[in-house]
Amino acid sequence: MLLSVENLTMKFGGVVALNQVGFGVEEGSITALIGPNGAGKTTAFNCITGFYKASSGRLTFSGRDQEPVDILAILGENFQLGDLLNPVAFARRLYFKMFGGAHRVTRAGVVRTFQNVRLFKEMTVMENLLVAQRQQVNHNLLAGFFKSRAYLKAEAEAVDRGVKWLEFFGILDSANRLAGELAYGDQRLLEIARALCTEPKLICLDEPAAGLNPRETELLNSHIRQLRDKFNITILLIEHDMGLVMDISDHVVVLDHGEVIAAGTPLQIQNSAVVTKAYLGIADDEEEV
Amino acid sequence: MDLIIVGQQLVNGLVLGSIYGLIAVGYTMVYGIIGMINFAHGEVYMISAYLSAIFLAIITSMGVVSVPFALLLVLVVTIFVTAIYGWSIERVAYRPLRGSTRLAPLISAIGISLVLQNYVRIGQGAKSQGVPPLIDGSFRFHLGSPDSFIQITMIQCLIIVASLIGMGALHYLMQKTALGRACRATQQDRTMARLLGVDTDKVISIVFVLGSAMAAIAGVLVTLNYGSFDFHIGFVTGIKAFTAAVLGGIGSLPGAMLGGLVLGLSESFFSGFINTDYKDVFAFSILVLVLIFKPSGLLGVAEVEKV
Repeated sequence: MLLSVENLTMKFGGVVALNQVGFGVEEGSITALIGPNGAGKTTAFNCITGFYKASSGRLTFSGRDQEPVDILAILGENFQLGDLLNPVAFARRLYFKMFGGAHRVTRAGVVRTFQNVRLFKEMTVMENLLVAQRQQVNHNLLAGFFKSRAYLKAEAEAVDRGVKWLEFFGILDSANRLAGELAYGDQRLLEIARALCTEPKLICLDEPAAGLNPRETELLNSHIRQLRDKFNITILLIEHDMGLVMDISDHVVVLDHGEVIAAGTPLQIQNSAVVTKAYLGIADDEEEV
Repeated sequence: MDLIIVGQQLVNGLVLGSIYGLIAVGYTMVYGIIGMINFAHGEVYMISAYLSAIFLAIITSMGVVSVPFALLLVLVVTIFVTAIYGWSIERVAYRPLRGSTRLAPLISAIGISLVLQNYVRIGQGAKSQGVPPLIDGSFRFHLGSPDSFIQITMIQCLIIVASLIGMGALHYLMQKTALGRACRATQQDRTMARLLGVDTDKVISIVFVLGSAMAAIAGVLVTLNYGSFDFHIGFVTGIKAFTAAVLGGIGSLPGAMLGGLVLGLSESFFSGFINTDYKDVFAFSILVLVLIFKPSGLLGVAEVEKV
């Protein structure tokens, strides 16, 4: 299991957005998270990628060296009473309180894209991709200033990686344009390319097909498959386009009102009475939190 | 005769403007990255003036006789120690309050500013301190008769050259290196930068450090130029540098440099031709006029509400 989510709970004041959610993502799979509006899909994403700190639960990710990463711990947890007796646990929590944060989740190998495109619009396409490789080009101020050999080498590798992904998505021609100038469809692709530049093991795509025309969706579909098959990247996606979901997913998890109501293969989900009821039965759609 | 005054005020204005620009950079960078004004930045400049005098005394007492070498050493050590002050200000006044209301860090920064002023006042005394002139010599450009000339002292040359180098280096760092890229990304969308693996806390610290280093250059140069300073110099100079940053478009690095020069020149011409006593009034009138007629400043981009 690449990512296992256990008893994940997220509360906003008195509102329970996620209640004891549990599911797993197999390495090398495409897993889809679906559910009606307000089901808590995006909240689950936010917790997994460190955008939010979950209220409770456990998120275990198998990191780059197969070493388990406790996502909630590296975001910086609150101190607990037991820490007074256990200096090691105390030091660990203190360390992550001071130096932890969402960037560590990304560095461990989980990256996400957003439903609305969030590019650095005033930077060029290539610069957008290079920013995402901060970890790989993490040299100090002076090395960058005086262009040390190690820095230049890392920088050249970073550009190569950027070119590789731009080529993959067919937007290499735009490499030196400002990101904000690209067509909407290309901006979405660039956002995925940028996420891929962090060299993730798991990429979380939040409604990648939203706002794309059928032809673009078709293309995206094949790109996502290739990511899994050619580059061995695991994919977790939220999507409302059921055609796309049923077509490419290996595993589907259905959320409703902050709880997992069904999980299984696309075929099982399509024939599930609970899922049909959740989508069509009750008329109390809420706004997405 | 008039040409002489114009020329002389031009020189003085450039010198003053360079100093304002160096300090304004610190305001504009911090604003650019966290959207808040670092009201303790003037105090950082004031502290660097003291530090430079202290290090100058230490280094000369250690037997360094070569003036250029001693100055270089003073500059490097002052930049380093001032940068630590800048880093600490961020750590103490800003980071714990990140995520709280916008006003909270503003108030804590004013608090830090008062703490630093009084810390220097108690530690160094309220009397103004001085250093003896180290560099003398000047260039004179004669126009016609032997007693009408424009004078540029060596120190004034040094100020202009040093600030050009400092700002050029900073611009290069922001535009052409991986660190600068991370800074610009953090400036545009901090959350997104973090989710892409950029350690935004570290980037913000570095911005404070760089801003303080620029203020330190200004502090050393001003100490050499005017030779005297007290615990209160950070306030007026800080506010003027802030005016320069707003004038140039806060958040924009070239804007801060340009704003500094425009403010320095206009202040210098105002005091040369109209009235010296009202030069501060004039400087702040500029701030008011800019805020009314072009709030985004000379090179600033009109603020777009982030969604």
